[in-house]
Amino acid sequence: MATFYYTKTHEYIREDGGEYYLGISDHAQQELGDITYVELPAEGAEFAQGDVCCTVESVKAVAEVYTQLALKVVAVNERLEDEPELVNQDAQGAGWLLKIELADTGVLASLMDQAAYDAMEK
Amino acid sequence: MSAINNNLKRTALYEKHVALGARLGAFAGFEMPLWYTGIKEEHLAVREKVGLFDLSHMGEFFLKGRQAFDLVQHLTCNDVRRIGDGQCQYTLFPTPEGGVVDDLIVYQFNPEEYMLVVNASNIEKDLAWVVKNNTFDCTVTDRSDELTLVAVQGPKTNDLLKSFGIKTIASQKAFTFRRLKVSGHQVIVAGTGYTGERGFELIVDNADATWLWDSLVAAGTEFEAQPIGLGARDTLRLEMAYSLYGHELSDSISVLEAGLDWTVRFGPEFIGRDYLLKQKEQGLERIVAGLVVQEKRGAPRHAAPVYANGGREIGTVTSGSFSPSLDKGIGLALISPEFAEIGSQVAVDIRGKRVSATIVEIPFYSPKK
Repeated sequence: MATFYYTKTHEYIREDGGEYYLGISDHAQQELGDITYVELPAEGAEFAQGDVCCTVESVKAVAEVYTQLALKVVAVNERLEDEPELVNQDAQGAGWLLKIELADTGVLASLMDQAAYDAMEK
Repeated sequence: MSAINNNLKRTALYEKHVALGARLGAFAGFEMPLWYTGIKEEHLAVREKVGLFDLSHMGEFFLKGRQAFDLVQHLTCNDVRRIGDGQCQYTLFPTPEGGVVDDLIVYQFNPEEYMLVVNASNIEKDLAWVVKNNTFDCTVTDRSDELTLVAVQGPKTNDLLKSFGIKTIASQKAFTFRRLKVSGHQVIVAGTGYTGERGFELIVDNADATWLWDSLVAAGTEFEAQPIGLGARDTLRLEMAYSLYGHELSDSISVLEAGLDWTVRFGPEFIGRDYLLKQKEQGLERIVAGLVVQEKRGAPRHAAPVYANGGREIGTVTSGSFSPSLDKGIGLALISPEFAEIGSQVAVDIRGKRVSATIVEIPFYSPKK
């Protein structure tokens, strides 16, 4: 079963059988509305804490996706090139943005768990 | 993000929007529906079926008096003599320097009585402008807060309004209006809109707002009518390249630069006439043009720089968005005329990167007839 960790800026990291995925939360996709374009980095790219790693564009808005952890991009969700709406339909499932490798999985503890994110004032 | 400023005004239909689960946002001092189910879906519903828009935030001024015609003509650049009683005219309030105070629609009841429908964001400024320039025998009454305006737009509009109770709607032409009684309620029915589709705007007293909305929703059920938020209103108008105040229109962009020369008639005297006539004779240094981003690289956005192929900056984007009908990024940009020819290749800044774009004919979209 997958475990989700959330940032205050509405990104998530999903841990699933030892693999890690980064995306935007279901709340974030609702706030953005119809997503029309997702700009993804190259595979192998590395990001430091606080970097912008992706950009998600909706009809009305452009949102930068930040990473709160140092990470390396293992794969990008190539389906989003033709189906950016996947992020609306299933933000925390098929609408993931990046498959990532974490330098230090211990830092996940600094993010919010599901209960804390649900309770956060949005 | 969900906290809405308490100082925002609400229309008489606010509770309807909340009940429909609308995503609300601040617009021109009002708390308005931005979307209900989603901008793309709502946009396409208007293009293919029919949609209902609460536009009660817009302003309505009533002008009455022996010289009402003279006041309207003094304030606006179109030729008011070109419309008769029961007709509407798209026009603008130019400044003496040819810029734009606002764009508006003039409704002529008769030459001594008019209604002006203006942008919500400009109501106070416009009222002050009209009053300041009213040296005529004419009274000006702002009824913006007393009236509800609901637009019905889309190819199924006639069917919906017939079912609503206006049997003769199919024969009512665009840019004409009538005062009708529908089920005992007084309604102004105007063949106007901001989508490019067949459509009408219905105006009632606020006391009749829920009756109007509920009756239109009921009449629209069989035609799959749905409520449409301001998000889709903006993408619909942008596909038609209709100007929006604060974007293509401002006090520092002239009526001619905005590409609205077709609204300017130099026959009558009006504020800004001399400046605009001189500018027309001298030629324009910039003009609004349409551009399309061919690649999937996102949409151009307001204020983004536009570059010539060689790299020199030639202007800025005034409005930009993803176009649901074209499935591409589109934009209007104020650029040097030498680069505004159809087919010209330019570059537009999208999030800090220069992306190639093509100058295209506007409107971007032609409604199916």
